[in-house]
Amino acid sequence: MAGQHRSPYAGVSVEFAQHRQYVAGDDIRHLDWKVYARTDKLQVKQYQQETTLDLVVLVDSSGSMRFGSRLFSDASGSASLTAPDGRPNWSKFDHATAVAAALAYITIHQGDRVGLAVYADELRAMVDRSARKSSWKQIVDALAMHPIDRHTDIVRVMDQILAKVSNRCMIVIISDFFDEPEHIRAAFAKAKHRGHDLIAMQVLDQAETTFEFDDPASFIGLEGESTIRIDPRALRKDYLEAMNAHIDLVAQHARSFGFDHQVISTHKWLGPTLASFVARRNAASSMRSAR
Amino acid sequence: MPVSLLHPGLFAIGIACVSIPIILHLLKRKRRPVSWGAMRFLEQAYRKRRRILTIEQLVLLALRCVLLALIALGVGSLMLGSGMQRSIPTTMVIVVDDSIGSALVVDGLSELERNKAFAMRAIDELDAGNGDQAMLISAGAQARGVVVPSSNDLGAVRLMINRMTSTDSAFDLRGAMTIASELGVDPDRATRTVLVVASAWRGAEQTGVVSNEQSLSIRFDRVIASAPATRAVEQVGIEHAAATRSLVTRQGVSLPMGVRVELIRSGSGDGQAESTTNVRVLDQQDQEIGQRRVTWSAGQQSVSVVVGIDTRTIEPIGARTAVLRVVIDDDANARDNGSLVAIATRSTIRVGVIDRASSGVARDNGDASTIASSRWVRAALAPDERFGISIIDIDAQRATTALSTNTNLDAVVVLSPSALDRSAWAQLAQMSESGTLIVITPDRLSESIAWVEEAADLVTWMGLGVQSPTVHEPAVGIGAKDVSGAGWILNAMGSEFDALSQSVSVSKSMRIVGNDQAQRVVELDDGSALAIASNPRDGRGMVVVFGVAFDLDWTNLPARPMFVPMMQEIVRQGIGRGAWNQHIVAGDESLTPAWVVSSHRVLMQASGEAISRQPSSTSADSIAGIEAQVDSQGTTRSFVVINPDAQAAMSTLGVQDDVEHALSELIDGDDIAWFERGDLGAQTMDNELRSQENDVAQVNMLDASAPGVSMSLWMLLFAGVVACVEFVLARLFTTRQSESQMSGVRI
Repeated sequence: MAGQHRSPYAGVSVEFAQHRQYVAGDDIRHLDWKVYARTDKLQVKQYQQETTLDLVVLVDSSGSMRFGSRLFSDASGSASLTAPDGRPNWSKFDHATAVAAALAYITIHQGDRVGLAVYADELRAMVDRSARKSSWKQIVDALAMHPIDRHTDIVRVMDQILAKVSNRCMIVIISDFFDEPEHIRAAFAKAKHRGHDLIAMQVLDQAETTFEFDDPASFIGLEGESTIRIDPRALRKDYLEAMNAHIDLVAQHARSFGFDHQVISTHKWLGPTLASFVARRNAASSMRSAR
Repeated sequence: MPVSLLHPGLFAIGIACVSIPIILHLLKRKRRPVSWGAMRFLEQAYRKRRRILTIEQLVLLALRCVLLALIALGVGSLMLGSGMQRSIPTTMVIVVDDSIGSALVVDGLSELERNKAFAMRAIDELDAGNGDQAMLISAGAQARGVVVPSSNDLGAVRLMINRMTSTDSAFDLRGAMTIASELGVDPDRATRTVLVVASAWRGAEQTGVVSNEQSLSIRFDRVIASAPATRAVEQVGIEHAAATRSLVTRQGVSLPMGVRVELIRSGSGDGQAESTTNVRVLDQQDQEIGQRRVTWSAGQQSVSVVVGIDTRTIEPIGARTAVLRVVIDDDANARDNGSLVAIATRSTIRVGVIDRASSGVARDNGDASTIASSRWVRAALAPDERFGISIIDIDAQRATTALSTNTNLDAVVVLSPSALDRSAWAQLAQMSESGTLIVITPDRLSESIAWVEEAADLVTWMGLGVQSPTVHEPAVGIGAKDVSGAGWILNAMGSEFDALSQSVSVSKSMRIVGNDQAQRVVELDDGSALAIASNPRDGRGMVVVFGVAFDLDWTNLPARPMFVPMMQEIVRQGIGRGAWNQHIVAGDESLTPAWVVSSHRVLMQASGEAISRQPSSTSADSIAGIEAQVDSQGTTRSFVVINPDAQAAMSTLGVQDDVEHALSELIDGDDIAWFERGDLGAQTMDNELRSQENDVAQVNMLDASAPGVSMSLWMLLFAGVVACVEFVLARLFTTRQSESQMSGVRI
């Protein structure tokens, strides 16, 4: 038996789940003749199908993911003060890659297949799904790239992913989702239409969520936006309102398709986030398998 | 309210600092760049609040500029009123009205004393230690600088003010302003200029003080003027006085004579009540020689009367001039209650009559037509000794010699001009230059007019032109319809002239003409001149030229009653007018003939006070009196009678608007600060000054309202308020979002 996850699709499988009364149209191959013999009642056997859980992790490497206000030394847990490329900060992309690597590790060690895609306005790198433990190294290698100064085109990327994924799987998007809400909704719709499950992990930096700047400064966009000179204190409220509204909208879109949405702060430890993710997925699997 | 700064330099620096926030606002400051991922939300928030942010920034910018300006004003010690400009030296130009109008006594104190007290108040506000200076100008015409240029010896200026006395002349405001402009403030000296004008402004409108003349464009930082007096005071003045005859003789018959006196009344407007004024004429011994009572009707403001005088006691102050004094009752202004009248005097009038010796013998054979011209003249001028005229017959052939030995002749009648040689005419011209009256008639025995060429020096200046005699068939009459007037030499004949001239006819005459230096004495009925006379000029004797010989073949004039008074008037008036006694009002310029070498005061003021100043200048004098004009021989040939300017003494109340307009015209339109001179009552000036110390403390003349009030503290306090407002608004604008209840994004 491959994989440790219950399939959400009840049918014929090896693990008995329950009996139910036969109704016209049921496949007579599923009749439990032993029960019929004992009780003279026609009962159909139902089984819990155990399948492999293909996980496809999409990691956003657009320009906005380069932002990070946390010190690398504080976040990485290593003795190094800077990233290998010399950056002193722990970026959202760093955090996203850590989450992706962790999810892949967990999934592989559960015997499930994991695939990875790194994208911005298009797919930049992809690791095909595999349950081999050695594939984790490929995944980590694929994650060892830098964000580029491009914006996100989630719809296009979703099309590219769906073209490569034929069977139903779970798609985890790790991104700041700084894209048009309509585009995000369109991408979610495409995934739902193809029967995939999806978890939207929105990675945000604490500076982005608090916007606590005291001095006037010039803000330079990481995705080619124009530079604006402002007093951050004068715009904080409106900025946070806009940010909150966007997060809420992303969450609303995700939940409208039955997907999960989770905001991940770069300043928080990954453990609770991953635990919460696994627990929430298991609960969701249970609910679906019970249907 | 005027404002000033105690420390303008600090203020300038502070104001310059106002530009700092503006510059900072305009500069695109290089701020620490922040690479930002969530730009879409930042741009969204920025677009939403961009307009408000701009307004908020401008509000904060304005507040910061105001804050710095207020600090600058505070540091610069903004002062309300001009009193705060004590650090800037003040040059005060003080114009004191000491004109004749200032002699008006109201409630026991003259207007001049009030003007002086006003000026003292102004000086009291100066501080010599601060570099303040004062210039003092006496505004009695013609205005003169008493302390010019300005002096920082304020004590001396006060002393000079105390010594000022009223003049007899008008208020020469324009002259005072001219002095202030020409000799005033050193342009290189950083100073504040203040003009102080102390006057009651009485009669300002009538005397032309407020006339709209061309602006002098004098710039003063502050103009302080005393408010026009408000107390109506009635007073009468002698505007003009003149003798009806210009010559009196002290021997012989006394011809009727009088003094025409013109009086003006002012001060109470149309409400002037009926009143009386006694007019008296005094001789040199102050003995009354004439008197008349003048009755004023209600509202009457001027009157002209003739006061008959007894000339018997008149004595000359020089050899040939007497001075009469006309006085009226004392009133509020004593300076215009007297007037001097100069009049030529002679013990006897010496008249030389030049005629041919052959014709000078009376052919008294009972035929009037054979009477020599000289006999007619003698009969007209000196029928006997009582007329006070002595006739000296001069043979025309020996005229040069005779004239040289009779240089003191008052008049010469030339009856035979054709018989005179060139030297005799030169002699006559010289005598004329010295004031001798010359009367010329055609030669009855010759129709030649060649003598006109010989007499060029004598008659050319009056443009004399003579034509050969013409016979009038029939004879024409004479008259004076186009020549009579105030200056007419026969004016004393009055209405008798017409009656007397009716019986006169002319059968032969020469046509004579003159230029504008000549006036007609008698005309023929055809409009041509029968006699012309030169106008008085520069002490030159009058020249009278007849177009007819005094012979019955020419005219019946010598045989008519008119001839005697006509010749008497021509000789007496001609001699008197040639005396060249000028009558001017104080402040006016007198004419100074070329022969005048020096002049000096010789008598008293019109009020009778003695004058000791001498010699005096020949220019205008502001004090009434008599000035003798002396020629190179040391002889006093004429007098200038300077009388008070009664017009300028009018006590009519001035109108502040008119005065303000006049001052504004003169001084380039500055606002005028008006101050009451105060009711000084009957106190002395010193007492008044002491009593006004409190007033001065309360009302600072150099400041419009109050002594310099420093606004520095208020400015700094206000700056503090603005700073608080700026801080609150800045915090509100910049932190109301950051300190909002939203602590961050919900994660």
